[in-house]
Amino acid sequence: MNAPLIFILLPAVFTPVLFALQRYPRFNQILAASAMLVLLLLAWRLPVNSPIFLGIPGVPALVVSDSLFLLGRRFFIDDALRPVLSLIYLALNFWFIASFVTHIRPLYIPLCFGIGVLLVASIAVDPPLYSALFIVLAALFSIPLFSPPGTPISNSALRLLIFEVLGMGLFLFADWYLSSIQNDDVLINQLPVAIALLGLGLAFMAGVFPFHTWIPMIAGSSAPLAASFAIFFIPLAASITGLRYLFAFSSFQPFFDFQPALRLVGILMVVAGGTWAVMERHLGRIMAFAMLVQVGSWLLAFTLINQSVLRVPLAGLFYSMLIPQSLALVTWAISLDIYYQVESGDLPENLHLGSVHGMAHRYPLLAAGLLVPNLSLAGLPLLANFPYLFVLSAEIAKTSLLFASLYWIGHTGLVIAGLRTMAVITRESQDRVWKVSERRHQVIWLVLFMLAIFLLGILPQWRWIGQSGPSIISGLPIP
Amino acid sequence: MPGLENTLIAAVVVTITSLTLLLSRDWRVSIFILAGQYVGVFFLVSSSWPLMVAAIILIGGWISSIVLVMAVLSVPEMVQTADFVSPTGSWRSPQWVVTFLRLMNERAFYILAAFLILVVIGSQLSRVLITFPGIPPQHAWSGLVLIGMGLLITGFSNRPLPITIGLLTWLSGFEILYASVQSSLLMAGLLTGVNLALSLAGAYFLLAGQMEQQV
Repeated sequence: MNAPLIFILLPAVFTPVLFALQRYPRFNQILAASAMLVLLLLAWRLPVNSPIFLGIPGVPALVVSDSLFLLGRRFFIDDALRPVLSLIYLALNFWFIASFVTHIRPLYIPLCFGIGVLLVASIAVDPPLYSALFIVLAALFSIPLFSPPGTPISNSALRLLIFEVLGMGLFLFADWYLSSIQNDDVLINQLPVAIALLGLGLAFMAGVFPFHTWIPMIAGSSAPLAASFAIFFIPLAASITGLRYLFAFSSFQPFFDFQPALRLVGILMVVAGGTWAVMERHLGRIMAFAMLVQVGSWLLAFTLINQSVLRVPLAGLFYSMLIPQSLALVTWAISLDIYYQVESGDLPENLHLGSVHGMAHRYPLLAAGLLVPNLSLAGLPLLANFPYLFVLSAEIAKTSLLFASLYWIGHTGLVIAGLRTMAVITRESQDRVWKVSERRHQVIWLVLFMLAIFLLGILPQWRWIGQSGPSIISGLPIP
Repeated sequence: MPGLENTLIAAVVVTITSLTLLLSRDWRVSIFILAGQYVGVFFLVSSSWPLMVAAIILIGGWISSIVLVMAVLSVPEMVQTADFVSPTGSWRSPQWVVTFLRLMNERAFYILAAFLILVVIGSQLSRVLITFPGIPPQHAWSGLVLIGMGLLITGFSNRPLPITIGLLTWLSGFEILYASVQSSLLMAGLLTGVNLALSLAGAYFLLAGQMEQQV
């Protein structure tokens, strides 16, 4: 028994079962959500390389090893990686819970599950260059999510496909190039070219500016919940791979400092995302631009890794941002998705600001579900993302006050976008009487999600389950 | 292991096939040429990788081509409307010349772009060989030509089939370069997997509009 078998191979075998059970969507939902919950619990509690005593007399202790060798390469999950897996499974669980709140297409469940498996495989594979292949497969898997059968194919799907495949090639080649340089000091003068290739490959795959265009395109042309899954997890997988490379090739740091470039791109994404969100008139695309700001924040978090803040390992800051971000994004997506199905007739173009006048009068909780996550992702105090953004901006300010100012300017853009949305959806309409038109289970889940956003903001020092550190920020190791 | 002559012939073959893919507008020609291109890729890759591993790339490429053919055959509009008019008549017939000239006229920009790509690759090849000494010249040429042409094919179209063919061509070029410097069974398997997934995605793009809508 080994951990990659439990976390990758068995779920991979389970995915075709979910495809086969598409005809029974409710059963499929329960099955997939339960499996994802079990994986979360195992990632949280199952020790790797330590004896597990089952308490049955005569039965020897069970040891789950950390490696699985497949075609000469290794998949590796040890105790240091388990907290990261727990976070990813927790984030994935949000999207599976969301499937109970709003109506989903039958393909949603098996596709999301399969993408989750590929995401974990991309993190566990050793050496990390194989991650790119798993990310491309995940991107290919995600296409039917936002371009479902029976609808004409969208340009966003083609764009995603092109960018991911181009990125993969550049990435693999850059990996080989960097490895050659690492083994041969004579080639050290070629380091900038190799790092540029790697950066370009990662930028293609993670949707980094200026290769971000598929993110708003997907959000503007497909169902919000499915789109939010793709625009969160594909850049996340690429970013985690980028982080692994930062550590794998950290020996190059004295020869070529790539952190200023990373910082510049990160701040550019934050500012550009915030500015575009202010000018955007489509609710789905505003969500996408908020996601761009988050990707920018991830890149900025990477630039701090060699420093120390509050004696905290800063890779933990990147990972600890994931739960507030995913929670806010999924709440936003659920609210949009319910409105998309009930009022806009499954037509993405009906999510323009001009079509949602007075929405808050009929759907007050959906309106709150649009605004609270928007303001949370913008870093408003007392909401989930604020503590992490505050730490991040404080660290950026230590190196550049200008960048710290720009960071908050970008987030101010998200605040303005939120206020603008609020102004439109609360505008007086024909329905002057306020009424709750949402269904009961939708009300319950939306309230729970928003409550979680508030709680994470008010209690940022909550202990991460099973971690010995004082807070979630400090507890997470680096894969 | 194929000899130097074989890899040289393969380099010429992939250059011609990639140029044909760029200029062709008939899906039958394009997919047939794509399948032929994989033979050239196989010969180039097999000089670096074991024959059986290189065969994975060839078989994967052919399966990808068949998947695309099956998908196109399932779309009646695509089968009926081949927007390329095949040159007809005998070699002496002026009709053939007119059609050929019209094709050249329509494709002049493509030809110019391809020419520029070939010139750039030709002029920079020696530098590439110095930077990457492990890559033989014919592999470097073939890989870069396929990458360049693949990008052109992808960039010049907004239709699913040419984009898929362009990306497959791009990947083939990358496989040739990568095979020269790295050898891994898992990499060969995964690259073939990506090739197949890409062709399946292309097939999905072609068929999605006709599939039964899920509610």
